[in-house]
Parts: sequence; C-alpha cells; structure tokens
Amino acid sequence: MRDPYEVLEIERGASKEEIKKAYRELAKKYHPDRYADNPLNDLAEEKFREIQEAYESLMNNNNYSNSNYSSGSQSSGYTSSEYMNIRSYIQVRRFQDAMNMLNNMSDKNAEWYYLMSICLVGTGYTNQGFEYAKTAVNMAPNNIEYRNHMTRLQNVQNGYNTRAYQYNRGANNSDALGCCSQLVCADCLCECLGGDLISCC
Amino acid sequence: MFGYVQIDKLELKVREYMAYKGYYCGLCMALKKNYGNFSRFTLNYDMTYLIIVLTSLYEPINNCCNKRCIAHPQNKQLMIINETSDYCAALNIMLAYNNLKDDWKDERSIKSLMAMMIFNRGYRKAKKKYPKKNNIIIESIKELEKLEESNCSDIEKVSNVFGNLMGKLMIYKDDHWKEYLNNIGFYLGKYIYILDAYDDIEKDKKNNSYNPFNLCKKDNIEEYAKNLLNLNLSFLDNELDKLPLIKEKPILDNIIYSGIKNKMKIIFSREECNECKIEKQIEKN
Repeated sequence: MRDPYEVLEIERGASKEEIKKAYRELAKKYHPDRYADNPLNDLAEEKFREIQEAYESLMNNNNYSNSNYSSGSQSSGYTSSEYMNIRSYIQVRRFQDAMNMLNNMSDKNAEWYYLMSICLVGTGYTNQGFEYAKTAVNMAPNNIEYRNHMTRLQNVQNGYNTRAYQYNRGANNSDALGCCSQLVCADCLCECLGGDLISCC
Repeated sequence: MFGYVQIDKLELKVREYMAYKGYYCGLCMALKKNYGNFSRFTLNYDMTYLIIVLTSLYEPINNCCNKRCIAHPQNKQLMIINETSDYCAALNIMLAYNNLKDDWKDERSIKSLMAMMIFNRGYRKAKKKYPKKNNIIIESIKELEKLEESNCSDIEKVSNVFGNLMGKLMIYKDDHWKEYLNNIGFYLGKYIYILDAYDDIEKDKKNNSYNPFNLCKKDNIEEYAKNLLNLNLSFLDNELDKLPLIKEKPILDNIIYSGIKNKMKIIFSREECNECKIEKQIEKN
C-alpha cells in the first residue's frame, strides 16, 4: 500500500479535520458515479478505493478499534491452545463463538477476564466489559496486554467527557497550553519594559 | 421513547439553527408528501438527527424552499428536503405504526387502534418500499417483548436489542460506510433506551409495568445509569469521529456534546432546561 499521506495529498502530521477534508475532496473527485459511462471508470474506481483505504488507515491509527487486537503469539506466554482458539475467533470478530467457548471453561484466570472483556465490548455490553477489564488488570497487574486494553477503553471514555466539556466552554480554538504561553509572553514583555506581570518567574 | 436527541439551541449559531429547523421541517414535509397529513404527528427530533448524519456523510442534493405550513401559519418556514429525508420519513412511520400495534396488543388501548387505522395507508406504502427494514423492526419489537415477559433485569441486554435495531435502520446504502453507520446507530439506540428507561422509573413503579432499572439489584441506580450512559456516549462519539463528516458538523457536535448532555442533566436532576430558565427570566424582567 502506498503512503496514505501521499494518497490523500496532505502533509505528515495533519490533523483529523484536515484528513477528513482531504478525503472528502478527493472522494468527490474520483467517485465512480461520476465516471459511469466513461472509459476512465476502472481507473477512477481503483483510485477511489485507494483513497478510502488511506483514509481508513489514518483514522484507525490512534483510535480504539476492535479490529486490531493482537493474536496469541505476542501475549503472556501461558496461553493454552484453547485460548489460542478463542483469540483467533476474536480476531475475525466472531465474538459469540468466542464467548460460548469462554463460558464453557471452569478456570477463570486473568486472561479469561481479558478475553471476555473484549467479547463483551465487541457485542455491546460495554459496562460489563469495562468491569471485566478491571478484574483482569487487578489479577495480573504486570501484564502489558491487559493494561493496554484497559487504557484504550479509558481513552474512549475520557475522550467524550473532555470534548463535551470543551464544547460547552466554547474552548474549541484555544487550549490551556495556548493560554499559558500567552501569559508567559506577556510576562516577558512586561519584564523587558521594567515591570513584572507574574512575580514568581 | 422519542426526543432524547436534541440540539442545545443556545449554543448554536443562527444559521446553524436555521439549517437544523430546515431539516426538521423538511422531514415533516416529506412525511406529508409521502404518507399523508396525519403521519406528521409522528414527527420527532431523533429522526432529524439521523437525517443530518446521513446528509453529512453522503452530501445529497438539498432542495430548499420557503413555505407556509399548518403548524406555523404566520411565517414561511425554511424546509430542506433530500433523499435521506424520504428514507427517514419511511422509517418514522414504520416505527410509529409497529409501536402502536405493540401497544394495542399489550394494553388493548383503543387510542392506539384508532391511530393505527389512520396510519394504515401510509404504513403500507412505506412497508412496500422498505420491506427489509420493516421486518427488522417487527423482529426487534418481538425480541424486546420476549425479554420484557421474562422480566430481564440486565439493562445492557435489553438495550442491545434496541441498539441493534437502530444500527440496522441507520444503514442507508449497502456500501463502505455501513459498518460505521451500524455502530453509530447501535450506541445511539442504547443511549435512547437507557435514558428512556431511567426517565420512566417512577411511572413504571406506579403502573407496575416492566422497567429493567426497577428489577436490577444495584445499590445506586443513578450512579449505575450515569455510568452506562457515559460509556455508551463515549463509544458513540468514538464511532462518529471515524466518519469524514464536514457538512453540518457544527450541528452534529452541538447535539452530541451539548444537547444530549443537557437532556441528561434535566432527567437526572429533574430540573428545567437552560432554555426554559432563560425564558422565565426574560418574562420576569
């Protein structure tokens, strides 16, 4: 696959909004509907698919996405063959099958809770999934995989609260950092002129 | 269970508010045009949200016009109609009719039967146009009924059924975005169901009717409900963020970040909304 930034004709490190805008414009330009009776039809379709793939890969990059769970090979080491099977089900998003297998197991260790948590979140039992993730982390505090899962869930949760908070304060453009740096600048200017805005620095 | 997905009027720009009203009035007009005058009684804000999401994603051609209508005879109203308003109008009438049918079956309420007769023609027309969606609605209502009969105390399980329904209704075309739209509808449906159930706790206790919150064994129901809603909204927001929504984005943001928050605040504190408060203050002065 080509570099997604190149495909979307944007610079590296572009913001989400920029990515979305770039996608929109290109998608409009190459939409197959526009080339219905045109010899360029195939070319446009291919280009369209490429844009879509590039967009998807950029948007899912730092997002919580159910599809990019690691397979058993990278995990904790004591994964049994049964757990391997369950993991492969989860990878293809067959959560119900994975859950049936999990429910048949009598020994519930940290990995059990971790895998169950993924299935629960995947099938919409978000709250219960969260509880199970917590249990898994509590049972095996040193396991990075479980912790990452927990952090991903927490990031999703805090994301909404932060954005809603920002929205209601009209802070869409300015952030705390900007405010601080402005203060520091003002302080510097004052000091140059012999005064002092913030006495401690 | 309608009206939980609204704007926060005070935080919108005037032109955004006009656009929102335009989609709302457009849906009303689409209902009238396709399914007759009486179908307009089923108009609601939740469907308007659906229209705006789909419009934002697919950017269909908008037909705008200024017209008078029965509800606002004094001024002409801006109406925005596009192909998604026709789709959502059909969904609206099918949901309303099947809901009434359910009421009639459960409570034998004559009112529901009368309303059903009025909507019958429109419903048949919509059903013919979208038979698959209609089947999904009927099946989901059956499934909900089954869970209600068994006095299911797991609110996540019950709300998942409604979420699945909304998810499937949200899918407008069989294309690349269908998985995304399904997820958005799913979390939105769950949010609506949970908030509606919480809102009805007292009423259902009095009437001795089914409510999963009255059955579940949690010490602090309020905390539990808040937690559930917050989590679902977070997932909804996360899914919405994956779509390339540019057009009407400020309206969508307003609904998700402010309108919904206000609605929850009103229901949890049982207090008045900001708008009413300000209106009262103006009256006082």
